[in-house]
Amino acid sequence: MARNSLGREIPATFAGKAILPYADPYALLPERDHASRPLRRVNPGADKVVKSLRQAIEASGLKSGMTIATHHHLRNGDALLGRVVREIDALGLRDIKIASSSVHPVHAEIIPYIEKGIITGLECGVNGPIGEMVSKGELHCPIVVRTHGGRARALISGEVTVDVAFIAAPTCDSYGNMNGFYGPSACGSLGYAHTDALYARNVVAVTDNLVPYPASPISIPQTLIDFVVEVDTLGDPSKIVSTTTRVTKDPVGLQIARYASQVIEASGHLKDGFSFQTGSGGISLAVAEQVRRMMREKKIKGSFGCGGITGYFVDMLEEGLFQALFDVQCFDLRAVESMGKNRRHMEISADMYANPFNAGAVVNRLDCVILGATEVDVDFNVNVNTESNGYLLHNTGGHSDTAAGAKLAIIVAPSIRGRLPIVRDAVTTVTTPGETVDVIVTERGIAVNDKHGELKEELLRRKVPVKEIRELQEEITKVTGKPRPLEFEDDICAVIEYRDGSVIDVVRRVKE
Amino acid sequence: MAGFQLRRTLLYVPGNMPSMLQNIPIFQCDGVMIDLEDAVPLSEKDAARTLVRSFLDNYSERNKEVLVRINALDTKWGRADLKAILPGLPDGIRLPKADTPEVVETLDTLLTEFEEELGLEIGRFRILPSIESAEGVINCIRTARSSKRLIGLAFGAEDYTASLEIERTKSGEELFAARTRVVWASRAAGIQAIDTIFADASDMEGLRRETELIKTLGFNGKSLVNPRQIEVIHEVFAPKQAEVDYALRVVDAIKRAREMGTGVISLEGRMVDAPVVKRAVRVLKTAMAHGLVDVELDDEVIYGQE
Repeated sequence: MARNSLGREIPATFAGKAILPYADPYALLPERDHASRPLRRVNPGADKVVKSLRQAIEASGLKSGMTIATHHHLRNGDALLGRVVREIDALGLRDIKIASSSVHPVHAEIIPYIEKGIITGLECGVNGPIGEMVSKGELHCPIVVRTHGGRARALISGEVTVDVAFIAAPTCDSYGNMNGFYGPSACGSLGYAHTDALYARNVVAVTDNLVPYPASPISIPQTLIDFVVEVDTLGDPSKIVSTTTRVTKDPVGLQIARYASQVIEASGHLKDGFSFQTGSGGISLAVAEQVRRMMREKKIKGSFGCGGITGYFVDMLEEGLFQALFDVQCFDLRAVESMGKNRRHMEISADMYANPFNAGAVVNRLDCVILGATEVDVDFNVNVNTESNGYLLHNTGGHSDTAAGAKLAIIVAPSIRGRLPIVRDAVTTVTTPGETVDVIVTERGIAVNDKHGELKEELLRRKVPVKEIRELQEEITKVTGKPRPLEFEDDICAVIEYRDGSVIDVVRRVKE
Repeated sequence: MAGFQLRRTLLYVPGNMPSMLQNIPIFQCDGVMIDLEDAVPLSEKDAARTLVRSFLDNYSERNKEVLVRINALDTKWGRADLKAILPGLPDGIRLPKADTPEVVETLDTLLTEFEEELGLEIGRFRILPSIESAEGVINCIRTARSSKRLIGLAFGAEDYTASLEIERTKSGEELFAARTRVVWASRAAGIQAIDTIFADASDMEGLRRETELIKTLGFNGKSLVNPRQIEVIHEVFAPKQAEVDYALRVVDAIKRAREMGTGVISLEGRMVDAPVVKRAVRVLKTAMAHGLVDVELDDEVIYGQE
C-alpha cells in the first residue's frame, strides 16, 4: 500500500495489473505510442452483413478471456449489452471483460452472468445495482472506474484493448456507415463509440434501422466497421433520451443556481467568446437559464456549449448565444432533432472531448463548467462515485475531465442530502481532486478555493455569501449533526482512475 | 431613517413543516412570516407551536426579519401562540383579522406584559396587522395609529374579497380602492404598506404586473407564498440605474450644501431639499440592498446636525 498525493491508500496492483498512484492533475505523460490494430482488407463484392448477433460474435473471432465494449449513447434504454452477453453465454464463452463506456441500471440483467463467471471484470464505471452489490460483497467482479476522457485515453494508449466493439447504430447501411440522428432508437451523438471504431480490434455495427447505402450523414464511416447486423430493436426509446429535461422548481435548487450564476458573472469569464458546460440535472439547467438571461442582457456572443447537450443549449445556439455546440451525447429529444439539422451542432468523440493524452481536448477550452457532487470535503475534493452509504452507485462521466480543463469548475449541491451534510472532513471517495475544483456552491453559502483570491474578493464585494469551507461545513453540521463514519473492510472492489490513468482512490467493501 | 428596513418580500413559511423552516436562513426575502394560522391544520396547532419555538431558539444568526403569524386573538389558540413563541424572540407578530384598532391595542397590551415578564425592552416586539376585511379597510386609518409597535399595515386580499363576497381577479380592479386606502393610512402614520399575496406561483408574468402596480400605488413590498416569487419582486423594486445615479448626485449636492451651512441647494436647475434628499436616500438604501451601489450614508451629513 502506498499513499497517493491526496493521502489515499492505494495498493500496488488491482486485478493483476500494476497501479500508479495519483500525484498531480497535469504532469503525467507516459512515453509510448498509440495502440495499433491489424490492417484489414475488404475486397469488392464482400458482404459485411451477417444474419444475427450470434453470427457476428462468431465472425468477430471473440474468444474466452477477451474484452468487449458497448457504449452508453442509448443510456438506460440500451438493450444491446444484455443481448451480447446472453449470446456470449449461449456460445459457451467465459471470462469476458466488459470495457463499455458506462453501465446503467438497465444492465442489472447481466448480474447472473457475472455470478456464473461469464463476465469477470468491468473495465468501466457503473451506475446502479451492480456497483451496489459489488460494494456489499454480494457480487465479485473487479471494477475500474474511468472518466469519459480517461476511457478514450485507455483505449488509445493500449492500456485497455477492446477485442470486439459492438456499436449500437440507430441508422446504418449495409457497409457500416452510421449515424445516431434518425430511426426508432435515435440518440443523436455517438460520441463514445468513435474511439472504439478506431481502436477495437474488431468492430460490429448493430442496427434496428438498416437503410439503403449510403447512410447520410456519416458519423462513423464504413472504413472502420467489420460487420453489420440487423436486430429488431436496440432498446426502449422512452429511456434512451428524456422527452424534455427541466429546470428545477425547488426553491433550494433555484437559490443554488442563482448563486452559481452570480459566481459566473463575478468571475469575469462571461464575455464574448464565453464557453460553457452543464449537465442535465435540474439545478444545472437552472444555472444555464440564468446564464442565458445574462448573455442576452449583456449581448454576449459565446463561443461554444459542450458536453451532454440539452434542449436549453440548442435554444442558446439557435438564439445566437453560442457559435457552436460540441456534443458527445444528447440528453433530450430537442438535442437529437437539432443534431439532424443544425450544422453548428457538432458531434465529437470522447477523445476530442476530454482525453488528456492528445494534442488538446475541448475541455481545455472551457471557461466554465457546472458539476454536481454526492459529497465534497474541506480540501475541495469531490465525490460523485459513491454515496454516503459507501456504495459505488455512479460513474464519473466527464466530471474530472471538465474540472481539470475548465478555467472555472463550479460544484453545485444542496447543503443537506438525505439528512447528511454535503461538506465532509474527507469525502468517502475522491473522484475529482480539489486542486481542479474552484468553487462550491450550496444554498447556505459559497466556498471559493484559495487559489482564486480575486474572485473571492469580488464576490464579497457583491455581497454574495462567501464563506470559508470549514465555516460552511460547521453551519451545515449544526443543522444535521455529525454523521457516524462508515466502516469498510480491507478488500478493494473498485479503483477510481483519474483521467490520466493514475489511481486517485479505491472503493472498499462496506462493513455490513 | 435610522430604522430603515426593506420589506419588499415577506415570505409565509408554514409553521408545521420542518423542511421549510430549516431553509428560512437561505431564502433571500427581506423577512419571513412563520405561520401558525391558516397554513396549520387544527390538529397540528400545538405541534407547530413547539416546532416554531425550537426553530427560533436555534436560529441564532438571524439574517432577516422574523415575524410570526399567530392565530387571531379571539380564537382559543392566539394567546397560547404568544406564550409559546415570544421567548424565542421573533421580531414581531403578524396579527390576522385586525378589523379594528382595538384588536391591535389588545395585542399591544399583551406584548407589553410578555416583555415585562421576559425582562425585555418595552416595545421590542413589533406588530404587522392584517387588513383583510371591509371593516378592516374602513378602520385602517385609525388602526395605523393604534400602536407604536406597528411596522406597517399588511393588506390581505383573499379574506378581503371573501368578506365582500366577490372573486379576486388577476388584474385586481376590485382591490384598487382598498389598496389605496391602506397606503394612505400607512403613509399618514409614517409606517410601511405591505401588499397581499399573489397566489399563482407559476404565473411569474402576472406576479410581475401586480408588483409593478402596487409599487406604483406606494406599497413597500408584498407578502408571498412561494420562495420562487422573491426574485421577481426584488427585480421590480430594484431602482433603475438612472435613479441611482441621480440619487448619488443629490446626496453629493446636499453634502456640499451642509458644508456651506444650508439645507437647500440647486442641482441641475432643480431645488434639492429635505423631501428630495429623503427620497434619494431611500433609493440608495434600496440600491445597496440590491448590491447595485456601495456608498456610506452619514445621517448627520444628510439631515444636518440637530
